[in-house]
Amino acid sequence: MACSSFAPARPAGAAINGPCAATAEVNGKLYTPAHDTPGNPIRLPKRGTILYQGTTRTVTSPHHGSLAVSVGPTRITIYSWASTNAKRKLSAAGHKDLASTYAKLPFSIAGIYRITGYHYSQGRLYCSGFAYVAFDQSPFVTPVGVFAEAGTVLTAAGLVLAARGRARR
Amino acid sequence: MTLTTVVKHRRRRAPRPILGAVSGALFGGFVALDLQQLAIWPLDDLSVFGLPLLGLAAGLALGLTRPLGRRTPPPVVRVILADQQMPPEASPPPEPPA
Repeated sequence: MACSSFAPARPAGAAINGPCAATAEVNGKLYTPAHDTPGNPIRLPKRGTILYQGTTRTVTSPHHGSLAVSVGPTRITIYSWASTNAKRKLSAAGHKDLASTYAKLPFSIAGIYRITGYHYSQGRLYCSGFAYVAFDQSPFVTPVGVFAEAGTVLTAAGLVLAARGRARR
Repeated sequence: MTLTTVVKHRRRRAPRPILGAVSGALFGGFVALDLQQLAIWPLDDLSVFGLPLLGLAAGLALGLTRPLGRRTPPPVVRVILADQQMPPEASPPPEPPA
């Protein structure tokens, strides 16, 4: 996730609001807030490790935040955190195994998603940012992908029927 | 001699605007989902609302104009003489006598 207004070499067009910074490393490839366009997403393979790290310029205590996937006008929260931050930390880091993360999903997913992150300090928005995440999975083997393909074919047939008109009796 | 004029119109197929509009709107929605699944464009406001609206308008236009339907042919005008028999529609030309 991405937020960093104090990063010295902020990439042009980076999706950042507020004094935060964040990076992610997927199988050795570093992703920065520059990955904020659909043509330049963070690619998640089916296997490997993702290392993530985030920092704030000042201590945020107590703090909370969330990550949400945008689907049209709605946002679905997929991860959240909250802490008193008694140790007054300025950064947090961790790692996730991609294979086990994929295994937790109810069904395999594919495609590109816009993920937005928010970090609050003392109940007020401290920083926010977004990035695009693409899953390296064929859409022809996922339930949603098959549904989408079948729906496209069926509705295209409906359009052809409409374009032909109905025979008069 | 009595002359009778028969004007035969081939009627054009009936429009299907509702089928076109519904199919177009759903088609737009599925195209948005396809683009998302193929990792080309995410499901944002533009694709979730824009493509179905565009599909609805296109489907409505297709249903009303029926571009794939039969074109209206020119009317067939046949003049029948009362004391003559009407020739068959697609009779082959008479063969010349041997």
